[in-house]
Amino acid sequence: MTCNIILTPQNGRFFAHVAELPDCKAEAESRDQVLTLIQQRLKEISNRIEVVQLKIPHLEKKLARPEKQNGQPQIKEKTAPPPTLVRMDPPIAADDKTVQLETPWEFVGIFKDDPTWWPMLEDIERRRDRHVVYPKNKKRRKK
Amino acid sequence: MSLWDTQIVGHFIDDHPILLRHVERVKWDDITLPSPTVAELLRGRSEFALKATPEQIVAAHQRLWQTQQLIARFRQSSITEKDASVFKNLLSRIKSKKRYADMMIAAMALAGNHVVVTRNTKHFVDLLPPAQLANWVDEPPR
Repeated sequence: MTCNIILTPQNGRFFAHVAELPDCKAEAESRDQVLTLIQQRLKEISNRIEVVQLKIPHLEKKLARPEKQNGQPQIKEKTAPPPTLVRMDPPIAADDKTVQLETPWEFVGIFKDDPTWWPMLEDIERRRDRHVVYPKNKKRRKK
Repeated sequence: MSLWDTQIVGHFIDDHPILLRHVERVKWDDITLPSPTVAELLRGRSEFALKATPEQIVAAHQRLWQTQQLIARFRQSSITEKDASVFKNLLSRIKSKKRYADMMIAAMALAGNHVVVTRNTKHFVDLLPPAQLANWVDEPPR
């Protein structure tokens, strides 16, 4: 995802905020510093948020353009995309100190009603058992 | 840093009381999913999603999606050149049959001085020193 950063120099300092996330702000002495800071804030925020797009038909009707009048061509109403869930964050590397993660307690029990969760994990274990290596000087025993 | 074996993720999701006591005592930032764990979880979910019947398809793809979201909440370690070098060395000096993925995880732990958290300690016992091996499922925190 690409975000628009609004950068404002003021009284020798630089202020930045993310147009799509008004609460995501930073302030620093230089342009480069403020851009680094805002990137860090974005990373932190993206770890704890979800972006949800909701289609609200009632509101859509209200905001729709009026039907064609005076012989003017009718402009087709754009159809909103179906509800989707978007995560913005890439994998967090083990040595990335710019981001702090919190225990995802909300995931505990998430697959409680999923009959495939443990069979999948058992299959992973069986596959590990099958993909083995032997010491170089020892020959594999024939079955 | 703790490197979680794949089954440990399973027990975390499954609300395992002993494992959760361990988790409460450490910083989440000190827990990492090594690349083989991530690969196994995604492969498991992806295969099911790709083979799902029309009746299973929605649930199967939602679970793949949820698993991706879950993985994104962990720190992740890819395999570095240093890990690869230790892995190669480890492969050359094993004395008995070893599981390939276990050896990858063990090499990552040795190269980075991390602790492997697993329930399958028997598979790692001659790959890692005792201080680099922990079973957070069967052994409660002290």
